[in-house]
Amino acid sequence: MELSEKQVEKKVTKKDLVKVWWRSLFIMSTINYERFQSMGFAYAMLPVLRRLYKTKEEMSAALKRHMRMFNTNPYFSNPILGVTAALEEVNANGQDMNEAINGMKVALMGPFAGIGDGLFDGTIRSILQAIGAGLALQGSVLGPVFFLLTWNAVQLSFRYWATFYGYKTGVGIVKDIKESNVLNKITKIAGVIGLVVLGVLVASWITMSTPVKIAVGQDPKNAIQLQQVMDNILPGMMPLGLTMLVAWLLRKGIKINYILLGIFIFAFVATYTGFLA
Amino acid sequence: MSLFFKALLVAIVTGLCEMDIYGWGQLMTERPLIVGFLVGLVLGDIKTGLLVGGSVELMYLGVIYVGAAIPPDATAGCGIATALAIMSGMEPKAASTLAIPVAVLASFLSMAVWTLFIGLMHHGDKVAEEGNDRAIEKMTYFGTFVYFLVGAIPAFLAVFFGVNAVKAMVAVIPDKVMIALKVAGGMLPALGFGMLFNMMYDKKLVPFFIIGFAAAAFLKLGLIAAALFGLGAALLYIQIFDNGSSSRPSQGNNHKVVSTSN
Repeated sequence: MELSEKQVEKKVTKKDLVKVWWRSLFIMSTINYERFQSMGFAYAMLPVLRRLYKTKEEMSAALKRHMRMFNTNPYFSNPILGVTAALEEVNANGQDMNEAINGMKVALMGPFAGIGDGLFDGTIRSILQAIGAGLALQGSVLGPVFFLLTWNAVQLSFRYWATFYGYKTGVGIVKDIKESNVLNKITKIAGVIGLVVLGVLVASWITMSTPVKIAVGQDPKNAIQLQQVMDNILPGMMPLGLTMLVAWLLRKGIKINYILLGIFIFAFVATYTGFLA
Repeated sequence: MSLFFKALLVAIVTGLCEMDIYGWGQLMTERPLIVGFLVGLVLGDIKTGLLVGGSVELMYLGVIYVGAAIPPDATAGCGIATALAIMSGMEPKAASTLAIPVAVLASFLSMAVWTLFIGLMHHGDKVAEEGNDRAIEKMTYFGTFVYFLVGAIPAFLAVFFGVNAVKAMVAVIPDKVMIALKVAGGMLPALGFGMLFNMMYDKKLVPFFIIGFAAAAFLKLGLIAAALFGLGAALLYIQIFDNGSSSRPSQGNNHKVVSTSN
């Protein structure tokens, strides 16, 4: 990567991407039930955003873009950060990428969460951990030392490589954006996959289930479980209903804090009356 | 070493290890294997630390952080189990059982932080509006520090006042409140999803949301499988409906064939 910058073209430097890698270690620090890692993602992107956007207005637009919901496996946040850096670069050079960036993030975060959890947490770490614990139980200091060294060699170098790989891939994708309607296509593809992923997430990351049983006759064995009835009609009925309700209320202009408060009140009332558990 | 000083040391070590879970790094200093070793190190009994850490590690081997769920807190639990085993000569197994209330308290605190940080998130919206990037950094470091406390506070209480004091504290929190917080935690992602849905909403693309939802709800498809179906659907969609302004001559033929059959 060349360090010499042209006057017109804004470009991310290698140093910026190294900083993004380092900062990605903080991606979970403000994790919350509403939008998960979004602020951590914005924090990790800051070296890139500062390089590309010099005015308060530009910075504000970029920050707002990254305050939208984001959650993935922390080790797999890096390829997404890299691609985003490449797309932000195009955006800074005059092409509006707002929708493409957001669609791409949503499209990637779901599958990467699945791959990362399975590969890093489920496989690599379990093996190293078991070896380390075995050594520790024999009274060897090598146990914890071996585990920490091998695990971090793997995860840190993967995250470093993936940041740059993501960036290069992103640059490759957007290279001929001006020639054809590539941007239009990327935005559409990202939007479509993003909506599919969103549908999956609504069904799998929101958990609501009711323990309510409806008695039929005298025998408690005959009681009908309400959750089962609902699952027979449409599994995930309540999560879908809640999401649509929230989306509708937001579109009506209801403040998010009121909706938040409503959910809390509902959760407490529903728990104490035994409707949800 | 006075009890206060010991409690402080254990709290700092446990807090730093706990911080690793969400606050910073995911270097896995949070694992019992490491926590046991480090607590043993500061209390001057590495051997016991290794034994407790190793055995708690095997107990919690299956505990991984997936999606949006918060599992039982092995970090704080192991820090205390090690301290108990070293300070009172308890068996590692018995010590880790005794440390369960500490694990529960730390877990509860994490859940509370995930909830409280929604407020931080909303403050983040405000500073983003102002383009105040420094404030985003400050909030991030603040979050890291809070997770230090999530581990340090229960650890200090348990060593200084005894595990029974922590047990009494946990008992004060009504079960229903714990359940209600969990229920709310299960519902709250709907806020983020609702916002995303509104932003990505496009009448023509709504079918894809339905496909994704049905794939997960009925077919129990995972995210990777669903994304692949999504990718296939997206490519198909573009070939069929979005060829109007295509300028690639090499693809022209394909497009024509598809659009006439349409």
